Amino acid sequence: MIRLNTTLQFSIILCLLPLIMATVSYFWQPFDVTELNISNRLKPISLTHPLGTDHFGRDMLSMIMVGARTSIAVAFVAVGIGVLFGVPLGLFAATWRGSFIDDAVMRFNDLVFAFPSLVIAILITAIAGPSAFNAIIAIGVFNIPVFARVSRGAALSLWQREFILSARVSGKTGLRISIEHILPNLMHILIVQATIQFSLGILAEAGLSYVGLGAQPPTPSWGRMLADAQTMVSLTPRLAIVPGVAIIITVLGLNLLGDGLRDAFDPKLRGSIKK
Amino acid sequence: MTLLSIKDLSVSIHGKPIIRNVSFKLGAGEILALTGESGSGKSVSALALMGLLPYGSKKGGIINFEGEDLNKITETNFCKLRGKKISMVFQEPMTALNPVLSIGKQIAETLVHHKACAPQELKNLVRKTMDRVGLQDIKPSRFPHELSGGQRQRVVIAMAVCLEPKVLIADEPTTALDVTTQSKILALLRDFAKKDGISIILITHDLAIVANIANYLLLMKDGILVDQGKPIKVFKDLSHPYTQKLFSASSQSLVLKKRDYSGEELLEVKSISVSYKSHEKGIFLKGASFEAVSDVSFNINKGERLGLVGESGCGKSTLTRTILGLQPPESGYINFEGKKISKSDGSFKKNVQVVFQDPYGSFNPRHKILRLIAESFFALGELAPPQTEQRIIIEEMLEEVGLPSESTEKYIHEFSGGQRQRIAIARALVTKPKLVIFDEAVSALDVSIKSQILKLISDLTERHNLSYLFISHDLKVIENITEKCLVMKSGKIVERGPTKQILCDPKNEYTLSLINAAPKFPDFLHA
Amino acid sequence: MASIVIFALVEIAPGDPASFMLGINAQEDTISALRAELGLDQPKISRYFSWIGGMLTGDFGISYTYRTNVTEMVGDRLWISLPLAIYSLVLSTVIAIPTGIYAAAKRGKTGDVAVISATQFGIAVPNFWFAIILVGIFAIKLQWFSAGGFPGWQHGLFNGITSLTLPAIALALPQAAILSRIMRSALIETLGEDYIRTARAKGLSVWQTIWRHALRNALIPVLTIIGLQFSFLLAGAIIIEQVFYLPGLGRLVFQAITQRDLIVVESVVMLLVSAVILINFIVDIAYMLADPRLRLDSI
Repeated sequence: MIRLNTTLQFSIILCLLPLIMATVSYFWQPFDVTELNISNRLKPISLTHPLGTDHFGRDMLSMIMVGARTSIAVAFVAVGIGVLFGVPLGLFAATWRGSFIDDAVMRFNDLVFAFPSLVIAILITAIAGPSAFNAIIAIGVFNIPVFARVSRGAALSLWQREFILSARVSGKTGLRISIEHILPNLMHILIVQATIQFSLGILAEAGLSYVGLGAQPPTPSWGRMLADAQTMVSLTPRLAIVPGVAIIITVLGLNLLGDGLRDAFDPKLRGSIKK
Repeated sequence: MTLLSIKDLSVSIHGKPIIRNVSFKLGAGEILALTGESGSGKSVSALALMGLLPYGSKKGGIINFEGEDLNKITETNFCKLRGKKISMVFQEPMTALNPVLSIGKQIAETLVHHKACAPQELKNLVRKTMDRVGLQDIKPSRFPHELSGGQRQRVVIAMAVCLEPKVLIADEPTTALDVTTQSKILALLRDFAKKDGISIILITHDLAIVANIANYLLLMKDGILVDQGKPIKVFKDLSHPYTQKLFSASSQSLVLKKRDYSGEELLEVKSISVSYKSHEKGIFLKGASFEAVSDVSFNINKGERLGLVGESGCGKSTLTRTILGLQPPESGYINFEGKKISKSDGSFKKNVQVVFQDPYGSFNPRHKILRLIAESFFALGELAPPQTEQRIIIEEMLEEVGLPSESTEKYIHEFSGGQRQRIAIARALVTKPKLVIFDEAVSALDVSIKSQILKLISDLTERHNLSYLFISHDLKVIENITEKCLVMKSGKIVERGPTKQILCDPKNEYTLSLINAAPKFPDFLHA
Repeated sequence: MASIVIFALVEIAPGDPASFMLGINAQEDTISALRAELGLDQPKISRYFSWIGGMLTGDFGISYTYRTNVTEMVGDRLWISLPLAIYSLVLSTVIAIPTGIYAAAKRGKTGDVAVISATQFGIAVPNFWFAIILVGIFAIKLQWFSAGGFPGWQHGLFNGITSLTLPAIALALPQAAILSRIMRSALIETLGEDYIRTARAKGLSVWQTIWRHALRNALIPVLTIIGLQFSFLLAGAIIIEQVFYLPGLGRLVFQAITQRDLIVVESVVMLLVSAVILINFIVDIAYMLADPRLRLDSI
């Protein structure tokens, strides 16, 4: 059912890079990231240190690899939260359209969307204590209304289709129809949305770590690497560029994956003049 | 005098050939009908004439218009021709107009773009054009969404003819409209040809329209011209096998086997009224209530084949849903075999089934055929046969409707429109129902497929001793397949009786207008 | 409704403002004295109502940390955050709309591909990273701009704007990328509509059709996004303000959170939420003006 186009292939490669790094880091790291080695500080790119070392003497490549773990884990679970809670909400809101449930879900969505997400995320992590876990909660909470809105919208338009009418004729209940008919047809939209939210999650985690509210030392995090690098950007730009590029590659890969998947699932391309 | 001379026109899109070696001539004031079923290439031919082919198209051949080859002129020059010398009207009037601009502005745009008149003249010219197309009572300041489909189409026609073009191309201009509106629009077009000498290329799949209005006919199939000539001659001679096939499909009459009714009452619909509350509440408006079905009563006895005639918006879909138990009525009741109907009654579900109109939307694209058809068994609850037996029943049913039993493992997108309707019929018949409701079941199909499906329905009902309610806006279909019928308008039944009698000698004004508006073949063409 | 949620959220937060203010070694009774003074020992309900009452009259209360009027503090910061947000929005719109239109018009060809690739990058770049790089190149290496801080408007309009330029660019980049894609896809969608075909049939050229018909309709969804972006820019600049040491709303909130200055946090968040609601309302009105179908007398 899916066609592999070039965007898809390219993006999968891009996405695999950080994923592989993160997985490998569980088994082997070139150097231990918790060890500070001041005498080794700020060494340029070499064979032993393919990305050089930072101001504490830690090997940049290892930092990136372990940092990948954090970013991916946080973003992934945050998306999971969004899907787990958001999709059923949206689905049920569409099933019982116009009812109390629908209104409640819409109000909830409006409410959450009105809040500035960054500020609230900072609020949550600052108050509950900075950690990767709280970052997950903070980001995840904002994913819920996104998935709720997307699933509700798509489900509503599916409900209008005649095959749903057919299912109702054969006596199936709303709940059953939602699960048997609507959900499978929502899958492709949800998958694309999930890749988008994943990439946003990576960016959000980086932002939170940058201000010190994500994973705490000694766990490396790409965002914090950037914060540390800020003061030295003119002397050793490498320190800032490396984690930035890591973030960009991951986010880019995910976005392209989303685009590629969207095109693959729906091969109808409209020209500017209709036939 | 020949206006347009097409020689060996070919078009391919993204490498795939769509039309090949099409040649014909168009004279002044002539109405040329370009006919064929879907996929024949008629629309593409029209777009080629306008230079509006989609990205990725390649053209061949010569289109000679007023001495120039339209296949070779520049886009800028073509822009000067379009709207002024050659215009086009499309099929979907509901979406053909820009929703945010008033209709007056849109008509004026054509005039202004081609610098046809002085600015102070503009208003008058717009008004004159609108009057000419029959929109005398409409102000130019109105917006498209305030007008009906027929009115919007008139606006589009106004835009097309305001500069008095030499050629007007109309691509299925009335297909999306009601029968009564259709005849008015066609009359308007004929008027333009007669009075103003505009040559019209009319694209349509309806042969009866062609017989009534066209001076010359071109028949296309799979991208090539298979037959042409004056319509009467073409239909009399029937020289090409495809012409024969189409003509017999369009004009055929099914002969229904005589049946006797056991008199046993199956369905009783009494004084049903159904209303909708509008969900939309503006800041100042209250939710409005709209009565879709109003005091409708009728019976269907065992063995009866009842028709329901109505145009869009008359309430037939709502009525269908109410009979199926999906929509509760405000007043009145419906009994099946003496018992009040209910959604959860297994035997009701088993015995009353439905076949819908849209072969593309009525199936879940992610399920296999086996599962799609088996869904009907769900309603039976405990009365349903076991899975293994279900499979056998389904496979037999598929064979009966003319499809191989291996189809159970396929997906719906692997089938054509006609085949999908066969599957829909199979789905309805697996539970061995007593009553089937056909809701515009053949309306979305091509002419030749339509007659096949009707024959299938007729055969199946004989074999399984079915009764049915056949809903359609097409009088010809109703005539073929029902013995009694009801005529519905604005939620009410305005006439009822034996089909033949109603169609020959209608008592109600509305019925009369429907019959008059429907395009028919001139009598001497019937065998 | 939103206010209740904010209040509840902040109140649940662990960490007693009073003890925080006085430091770890403070005595028990000093703490309770301070709490009494700040009104913290009163039941939550009455505090809530006095807060709301105060807000409606423009009085946001007194900040715990700074002991100054919250209204004044917010007002000061607003003079930076608001111009910054507007500056970024303008930059982002000016770049995004033309590129989006261009890409849609040249769909499938080189120009379109170039724009899409560029926007993909733009979206993937974290704005604070971009900010750091910008500072590295333009402020430190080339010395065109200062690396941070804000001299204050009293030193002249030009100085003010230059110091806001780098932050505005950093903020604008990802927003422009997103907006450009939205513009492009909205326009492509509109171009597929039937009335565009009608316009071409009337003799309008491709660009004329885009300008006169497609754009008006395509801009409608773009408007919503611009509204959303503005709300985001007001609050989302929080990290950029850190990077550039700008004394704006973002930094205020950030510091207030870390110092458990509840009143400031509540007030600023409330302000931002109201801004969002106001902007949404304005966008809705704009929709109604732009699309006659949404007006009152039609269905």
